[in-house]
Amino acid sequence: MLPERIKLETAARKNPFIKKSEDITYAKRELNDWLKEHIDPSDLSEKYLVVLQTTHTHIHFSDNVSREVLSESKKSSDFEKLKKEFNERADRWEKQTGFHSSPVIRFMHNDYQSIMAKGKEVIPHILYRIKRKPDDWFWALRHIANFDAAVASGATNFDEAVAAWLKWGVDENYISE
Amino acid sequence: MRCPHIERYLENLGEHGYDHNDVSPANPKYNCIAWAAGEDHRHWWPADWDLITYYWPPHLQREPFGQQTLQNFIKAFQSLGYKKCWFSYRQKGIEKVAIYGTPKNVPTHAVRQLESGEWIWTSKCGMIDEDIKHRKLFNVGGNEYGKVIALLKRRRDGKPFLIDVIKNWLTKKFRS
Repeated sequence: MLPERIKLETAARKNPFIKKSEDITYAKRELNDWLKEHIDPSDLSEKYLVVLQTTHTHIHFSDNVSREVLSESKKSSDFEKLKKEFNERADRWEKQTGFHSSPVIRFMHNDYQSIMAKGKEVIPHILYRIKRKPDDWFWALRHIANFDAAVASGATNFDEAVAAWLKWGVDENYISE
Repeated sequence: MRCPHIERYLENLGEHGYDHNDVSPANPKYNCIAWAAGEDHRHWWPADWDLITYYWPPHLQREPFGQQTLQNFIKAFQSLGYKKCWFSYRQKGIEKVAIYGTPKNVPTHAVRQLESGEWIWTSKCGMIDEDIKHRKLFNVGGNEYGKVIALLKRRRDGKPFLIDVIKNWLTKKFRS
């Protein structure tokens, strides 16, 4: 595995745009895309940021821009990590409790509880899940969001409750339509 | 169709305990209690925390999380014309339902008796899985659903049992 310093030197060498750009927004996007493509986001750490700032003065970005780009990459990497963990837990929960009718047994399952403990960050993943594969995630959503979108919308059945939560997710910017 | 995921968790079902040729597609729109009650469009559970997802006969009490009682389930089936009984064998013109539960009598599952054929009982396996036909009550009992904690019966033609007609008549006669 290449040391971080060499990776970033290579990054700058391979993308001449980084040296030339005066357009910060465009440059940010370019650099971000490049990082996503060439560097494993799960490897990103403060170490990269330090290397970037100390060894690549020819990159015409301010410290803030570099920090922002890396912070966005880190956020995206966290989102993907959480998505992966959520899907693993949700699949296991479904397999191990799908044959139960008792919501109590289903909600008290270790994976359902762990997902709830993730807090608001897990809401987009739950909403995308119920969009694709409706199931009783309402209990978790109600406790995490401290709000009941189904009741607030006047839903009267399961399908309407799913629709109400998805609409709420879009309105609150947790998911896109 | 075999359901290895169900066989894995219902240890007494095994490969040969249910009818492979008559398994419904998995459907998250109803659960086992609804299926035993003869419905396939909503979930039945006396949940007081969610009146939208879970239906319960409106005249019956809904119970807090983790405090569901056998009595409430029996009342729900009584509202459909069922009464308690003690034997699970098939009787002409009679439909039976069995409720499964934990050693503390907390209901977990329900099955309905079929009128005829080789397979005696029908079970919707939980909230999202398939419904299956099985030969014995024992087939779906075990670590997950527990054992049968109540048996109920009603006449398939919807009429009351003769014994109940007589009881009602006597009650009315002696009250007056």
